[in-house]
Amino acid sequence: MATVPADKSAKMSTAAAKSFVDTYYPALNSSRADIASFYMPAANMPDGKPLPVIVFNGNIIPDPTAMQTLFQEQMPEARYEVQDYDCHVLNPHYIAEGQSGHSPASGKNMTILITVSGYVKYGDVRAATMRGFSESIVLIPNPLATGNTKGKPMKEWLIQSQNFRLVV
Amino acid sequence: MLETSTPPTGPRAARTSERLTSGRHSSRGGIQKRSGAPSVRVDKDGDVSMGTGSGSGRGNGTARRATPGRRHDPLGKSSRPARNGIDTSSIQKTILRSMGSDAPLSRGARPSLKSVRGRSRAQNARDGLDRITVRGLKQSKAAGNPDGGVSDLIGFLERKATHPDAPASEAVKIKKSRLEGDALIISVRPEDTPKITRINHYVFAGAELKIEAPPEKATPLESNADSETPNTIDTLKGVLSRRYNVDSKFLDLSHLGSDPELVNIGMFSTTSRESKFFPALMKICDNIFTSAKQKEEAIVSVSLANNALTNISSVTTLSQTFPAIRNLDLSNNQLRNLASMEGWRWKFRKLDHLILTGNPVEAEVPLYKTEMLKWFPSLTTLDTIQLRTPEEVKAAANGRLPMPILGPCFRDEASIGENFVKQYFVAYDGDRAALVTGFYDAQSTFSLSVNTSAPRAPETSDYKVPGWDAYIKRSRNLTKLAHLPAQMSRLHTGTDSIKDVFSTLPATRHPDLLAEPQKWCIECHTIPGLPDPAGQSASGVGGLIVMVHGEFSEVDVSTGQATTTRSFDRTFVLGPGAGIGGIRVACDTLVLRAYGGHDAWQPEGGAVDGNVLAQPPTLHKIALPPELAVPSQGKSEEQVRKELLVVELSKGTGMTLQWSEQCLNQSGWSLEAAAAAFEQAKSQLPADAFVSR
Repeated sequence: MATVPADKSAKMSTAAAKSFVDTYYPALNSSRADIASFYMPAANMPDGKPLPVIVFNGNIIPDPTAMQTLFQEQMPEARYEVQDYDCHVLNPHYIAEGQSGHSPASGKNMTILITVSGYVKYGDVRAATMRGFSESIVLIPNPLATGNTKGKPMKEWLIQSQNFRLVV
Repeated sequence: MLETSTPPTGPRAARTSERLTSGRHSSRGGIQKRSGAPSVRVDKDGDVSMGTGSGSGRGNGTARRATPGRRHDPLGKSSRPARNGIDTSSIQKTILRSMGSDAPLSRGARPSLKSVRGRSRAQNARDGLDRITVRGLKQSKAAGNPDGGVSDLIGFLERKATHPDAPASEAVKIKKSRLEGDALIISVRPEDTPKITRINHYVFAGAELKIEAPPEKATPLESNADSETPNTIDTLKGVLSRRYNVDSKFLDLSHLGSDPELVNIGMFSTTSRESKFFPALMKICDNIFTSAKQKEEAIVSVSLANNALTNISSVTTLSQTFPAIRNLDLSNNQLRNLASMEGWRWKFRKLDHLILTGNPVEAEVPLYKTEMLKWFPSLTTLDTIQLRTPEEVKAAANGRLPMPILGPCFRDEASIGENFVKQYFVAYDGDRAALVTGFYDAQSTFSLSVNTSAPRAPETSDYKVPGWDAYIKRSRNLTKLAHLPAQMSRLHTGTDSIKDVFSTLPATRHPDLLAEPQKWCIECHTIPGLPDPAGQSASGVGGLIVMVHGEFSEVDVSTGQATTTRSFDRTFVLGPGAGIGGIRVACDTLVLRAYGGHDAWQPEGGAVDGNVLAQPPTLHKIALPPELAVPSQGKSEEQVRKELLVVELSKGTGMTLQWSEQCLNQSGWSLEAAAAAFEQAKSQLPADAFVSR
């Protein structure tokens, strides 16, 4: 296995995490038609369980489309604010089953754990109570972004696993 | 109500003001009790004597005193504040004393207490004032004024006695005054006595004044009157205990203005004292009950009925001292609009029942009930009528999510997660080094981050969050940490590094998982793609991601006592490894935040059956006829309640008022049932059932 220098790996993971929180939460707030695009395509784990995993306050959401529909059609107006996030490289050398992955030297074949802490207001933003939330996300490289660096912008990282909880 | 009690005879009778109450007529009763003499006590302000008998509080006073000689008061105010000096500060002083502080000066940072400092100089021993008898008022033209000319006379005396060039601090001030028969007895500082007696034989409003300083002979009555302040706190305590019902946990602060004991000590004798009265009362409560919990347990209901309140500004501190009361009676006051209660908007987060009957707001603000429901998130009952159920309250508080809050989604694999969590936090509290050895390896990563501005549990919102000094230097909060070297140095990899950082974190005690499961929310599910320690599979091996939300107390190791309680969110990724039970911690992230309680993850009642939508998510804009849901002549309370429900349902569903009414009618006028019925039928409803958007 090629080893990626620690600083490169740290830099890449924090950049990926930043890019994620900077785009995902605004999408929940105001561009809900984009929500599904943040997730990996439907797949199964080796043991047959469906991916991506999405859990919202204990509710298992079957797939990204359902998540998007939920937000588009039923979720009240919301304002998510990220107050704290952190990330770890979970697997520095990850290549999905049946994929070729990025070039090993690029360092992009990693999975990333992101933990987010913040607040959300549902409903009338001025009037609603601030609810604290905690969210844990695992990002994997977007296989379709491989080698497509010059083309139209495509998300480099996709959600494989997500667990959201209101905690306050 | 005050306004309807015995017709006031005193000069302040006609005053309408925003004051909490008025002790005007009753104050006479107080003096009579003491002296048995038919003397009328006039407060030292000699308030409101312009003959207009109206005006509101300070404005009036200021106007009256805007005499040329006083314009240049360096305080930028009239002389009134200074003149009230001794009395205004006395309550605070007394409170400070009772708090065991010999030196109010040390607390001088607060502006209100600065005034204590400023005046304490002038206040000599117990009774440093000279009493001077002034005769001639009765013969003057001012005697016809509503207060008998007292305040005019006082103003006159002060003006004449003060040297025109004297700085404001040396202006002669009459500290107290009272009428005894024909004579006005005034109290001044000894150094001012000659200045006053010099005015002897001056002509006031057509009458010659006769001024004499009586021989120093303080009657018991007088000394009592002048030394009342040290007893104020005891009196207030007495009032509190008399008005507190232990069994019903009810603090009855109604009819304060006619409370003889309060009137007796002159609690309402000046605007200034009056404005200090309620905060002082609350301060005493704060001293009696040392914790928010104690307060919440001791006092569930408060009545401020019949206090002639035109707004809540004079009693606003109630929400600071007793933020968690469930019942509040504001009936029979003069609250006219929402603005008059604005200070309490979003306060009293646990208020269940509010009574506003007998206030003009009922008639003057359409839909005030709906507003109150918005203001007080836990409110179910207004004016004894239930407007929503506790379940609906909870749904509303939770932002009307389209899906219920469910219990933990704990999808374990071979009890790995369960066993891990059970062992982990006990070991974390006990022996962190052993814990690291047992579960972490050279590739394990750990970091912590602090969310210093996280929302807090509502019941703790009055407390200051304890500092984060012990954590902040290690916090890898990437919203605040832009530089790569810092980002890297705060990510700890390998057992040694993790042991190091664990050892620097404060000792902790987590709640017992089995004894207090409600304090924990633990979820997990399997994830693929973890690094394979054996290096066999590029696509990785399966593992478990575990999310733990909970709380812990920091422990003072020298005493073993728990100190600060904080909340945390912790995410572990567990994979196959060489640790205890054949697993390893691949990643461990800890988020620390202010205590946020554990209500947020308690499963919602009734949510289990999957009946998701008790309340639709967004409110629709409904055009309302002005008379709808407003109490009016010939309309029963029941009818008003129904109309309110119709409005609520219409706003929630977007159905027209007619359809909403029909729906509620069929659902037995239960908002919940109607909303459920709507959810079932909405796809079949004709377009004209809805308000066009």
